[in-house]
Amino acid sequence: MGMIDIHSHLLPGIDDGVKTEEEAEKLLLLYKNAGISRIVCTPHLANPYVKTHVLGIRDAYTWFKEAAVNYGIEAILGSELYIGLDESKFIPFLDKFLLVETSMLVEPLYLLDKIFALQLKGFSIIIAHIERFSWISVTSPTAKRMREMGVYFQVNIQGIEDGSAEPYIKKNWVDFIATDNHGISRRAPVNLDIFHKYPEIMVRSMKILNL
Amino acid sequence: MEQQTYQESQNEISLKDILRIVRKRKFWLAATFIIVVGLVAGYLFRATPIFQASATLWVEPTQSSSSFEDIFSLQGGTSTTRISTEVELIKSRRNIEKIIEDLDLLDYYTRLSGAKNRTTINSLIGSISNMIAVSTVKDTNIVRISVDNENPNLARNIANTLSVVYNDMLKELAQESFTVRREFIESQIGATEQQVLDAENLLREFKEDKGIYILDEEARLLLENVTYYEKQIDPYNILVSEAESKISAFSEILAENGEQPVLYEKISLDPQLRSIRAEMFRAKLELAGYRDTTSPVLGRESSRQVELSTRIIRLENDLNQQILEIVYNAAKEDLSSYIRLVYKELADAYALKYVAEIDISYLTQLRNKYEEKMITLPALEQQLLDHQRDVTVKQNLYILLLENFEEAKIAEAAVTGTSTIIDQAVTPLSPIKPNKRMMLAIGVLLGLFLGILLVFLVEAFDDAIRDEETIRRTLGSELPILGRIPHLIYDESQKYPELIVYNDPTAPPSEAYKLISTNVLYSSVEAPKVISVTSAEMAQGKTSILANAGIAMAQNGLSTLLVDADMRKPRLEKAMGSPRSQSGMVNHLLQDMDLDDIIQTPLDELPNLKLLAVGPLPPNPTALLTSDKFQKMLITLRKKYDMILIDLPPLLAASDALIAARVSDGIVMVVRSGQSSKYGLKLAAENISNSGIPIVGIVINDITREDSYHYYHYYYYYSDTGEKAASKRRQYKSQYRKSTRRYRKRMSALSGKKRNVVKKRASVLENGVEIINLEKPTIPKPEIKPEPELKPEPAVPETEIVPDDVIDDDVIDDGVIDVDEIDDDVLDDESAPVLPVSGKPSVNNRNRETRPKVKSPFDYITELEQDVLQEEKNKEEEDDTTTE
Repeated sequence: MGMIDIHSHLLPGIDDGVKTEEEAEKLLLLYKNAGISRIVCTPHLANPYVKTHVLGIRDAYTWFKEAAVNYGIEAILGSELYIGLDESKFIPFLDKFLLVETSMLVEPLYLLDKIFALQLKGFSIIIAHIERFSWISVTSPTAKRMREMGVYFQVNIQGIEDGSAEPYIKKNWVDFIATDNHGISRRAPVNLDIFHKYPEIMVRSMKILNL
Repeated sequence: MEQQTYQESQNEISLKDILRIVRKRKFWLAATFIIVVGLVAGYLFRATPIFQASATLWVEPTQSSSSFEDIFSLQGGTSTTRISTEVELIKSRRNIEKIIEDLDLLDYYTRLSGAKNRTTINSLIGSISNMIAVSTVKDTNIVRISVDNENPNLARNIANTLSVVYNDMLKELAQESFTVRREFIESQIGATEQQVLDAENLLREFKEDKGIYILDEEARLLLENVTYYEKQIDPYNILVSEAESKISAFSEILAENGEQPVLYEKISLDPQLRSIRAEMFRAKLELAGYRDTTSPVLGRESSRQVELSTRIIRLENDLNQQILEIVYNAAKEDLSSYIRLVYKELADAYALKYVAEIDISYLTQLRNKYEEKMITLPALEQQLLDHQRDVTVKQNLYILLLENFEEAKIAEAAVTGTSTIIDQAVTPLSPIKPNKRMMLAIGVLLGLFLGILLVFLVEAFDDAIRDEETIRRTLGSELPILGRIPHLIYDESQKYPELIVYNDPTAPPSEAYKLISTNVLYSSVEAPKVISVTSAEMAQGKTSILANAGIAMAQNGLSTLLVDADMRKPRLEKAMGSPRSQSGMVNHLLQDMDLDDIIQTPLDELPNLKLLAVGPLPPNPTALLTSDKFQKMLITLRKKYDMILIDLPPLLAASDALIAARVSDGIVMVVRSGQSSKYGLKLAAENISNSGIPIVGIVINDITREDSYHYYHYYYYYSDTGEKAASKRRQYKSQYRKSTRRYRKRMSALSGKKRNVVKKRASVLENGVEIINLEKPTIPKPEIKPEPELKPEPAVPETEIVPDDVIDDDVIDDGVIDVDEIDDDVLDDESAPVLPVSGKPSVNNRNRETRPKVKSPFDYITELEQDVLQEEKNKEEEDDTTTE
């Protein structure tokens, strides 16, 4: 069974992720060794804290897709959608999946309404690294309502390692595990072996993505 | 039919009902029983056994029968102490103190309770007094002393000691008066002896000196008379002295006990006593006169004498009474029985002295008469007479004293207690309490009683609805029960665990669902088309009932649409075994997405069963459910389908449920047996009746054997499908068949031989006859023929763009058909595409992605790039304008 990393910042020189093509190649090797067969490239878009080189995405993705083929990896293009300012800037992956991020500290106004509006357009919503948002927890009504609305939750490998994702895993609310990989030049390398520890979540992810 | 039988049996509470209630709550009963019996057993196990020892005494009530009073011819009747006094006396503080002292109990109890709690003598007296029970054996003078104690030996000892101590006390008390008397007489004897000798010497000396030896006749006569009276007076004088010594002795005892008895002086001044005294004085004087004048010839007393004697006795009684009263009045209110007895003795002594004084005074008066005469005698004779009289008197007195002394000694020695110990107490072998058998028996009875009481209390306070009678009583109206669904455990290994009717159309529970669908269809003369299914609270099972009833209707050939309007917690898709779809009713209501695009066919084998899912869950469902668009949607759908079932949110949870239900022809309420509350149901029913929407009826869900024995056989059939489905089902297969056959037979008797369900329905409606469907539910292939070539196509390739307008056009072209034209003609025509919507590829594709497919990722990039470029351009222009 193949595995997929749905949250990464591997496109070189686009956002605050990987800087160079060499670094990207190094990472691709790590992914190959970890047995991951699909990577979704999700650069930030319209994130007030990150400057994204939008005009470079097309070329960077084209290069990355070809480079990945050499490692037997399929690269898929998507983006993170920042809810709070301009929800019109996004690239869905696999046609309909939207990786949604937002402010870490405060719950954005009309969050559920905005999610509903995106769902009405036919998109499936995935909340990126839900364990990192301090305004939501497994006990908050917002989280419960989002589950009822069919919103998917993604947790970071880092969150699993530091235990902050534990409540979500226990509640069986984790649909995706992802790296949120920002490369090895800026942050510590991600322990890709964690993927193998949660086979049920992997199966569930694949079922959701219909892969 | 079932309803009717049920009603009949519900008219009164039968023994069966009571048994059912008890059986339903047998755990309450068992728990209460075990707790109560356990508590009793625990108490018996831990309680210290109490032993009882008994001694019996024969008590003679103390009466004034002492010989002393006889001797001095005093009138008796001083005390008539009753047996109850004795009983009181036994438990007197004096006796208990004596017991404590004799048995060294203070020490024993101090050791028993440990050094911490110092046992005081007062508390000990109280506790020992509580141990002792004194009772009289009925109508006898036998008294039983029972002592309860943890220590059998101590109990025996206390009982025995008490009987002895009591006896001693009585003895002491009685002896007291005799001893005083004996001592007094003893002291007098010596003095009197000396007086006699002196008097004799004086007489002898006088005779020798004067030479006169003999008195003449007259003088002798006088002397005789005077000495006669002197003789009479002397014993009274002794009596007075005796009484005085008694008085002082008893007063001393009383003073020791802190009592202050009334003084004799006070008594002698009492005016009432004085009048008695005067009367008595006169009576006695007169009686004495008679004695002098009565001729002995007559040999008997005259009537006047008898009268006087009785009067004197009566007066003496009055006097005694009066003195006793005075003494008691002067004493304190509450006296111990012992002190009371002493007071009585004191009063007796007072009375003795008082009467004696009266006697002395009248006798003295008589004597004085003769003494006056003596003056007339010659001097010498007179002197001799004096001396002689003195000697006689003194001698008489001496003899009297000697006699009395002997008697007193005998009397004193003869005195015993007035009680006799009949049976000594023996050491009890077995404890008297706790009575284990009795207590256990009481515990068992109490446990049963409390258990049953609790069972009925719990039943009374149970708010849950468990039977139809409760529903009727709660709603106060006769709403039809549309169906009763037994308790089911879903077989999770099946593809559609909840769809019982789909999985096994002939199983009895499926018949129950089918009955619901028929009952709904024939609930009114004109078959309802839109039915809302709801419940008062959550989790009552409305969705699975709706799904199964919908399948039953579809199997009967009706084109059926299930609408999920529960926008808070939609469950219909899950019940139908479908995944949550991306688009649904919400997309239609908000985005005008075409209904045909979002209506699904959840079960491939039932193409005439359709499902309209919710789609994305709106943050504010109320606005959607109450919108005109929703109403319009249902009006449109009503034309397309024979039957629409709407899954409404629970009435008490969602305010919009009733507004949404306006478009329906009626509401079906689902009640979960044992869970729905009466209060909730009542509230919901009130809301519905206020809204004016008719309630078609009620479906009772999840009936277990406990809830209703009328239906529990269903429970057997399906209860364990989950666990041991295959084997069990085989086992019961013959039973299924039998019961199904019975059911059909019954139904066919009603319905005749109509086979074509749709036709039948029409005819029924025409004739206005209610006929229940007996048709074996099969997938009605002849009526509906899905076109195989139009079956769902494989998923459209990602890149392929299917424009919305194309789909819409297709559907409109061959999809929308005028409802009026479908009817019977269409249904009868086997080849005709009855339900055109089912055939379209766009409809059957459940996971159909409508909009996102329009664009590829690169399209998005292009848009983003264009935005950026546009922004840059704008910026440049701005810069240009500013530079310009």
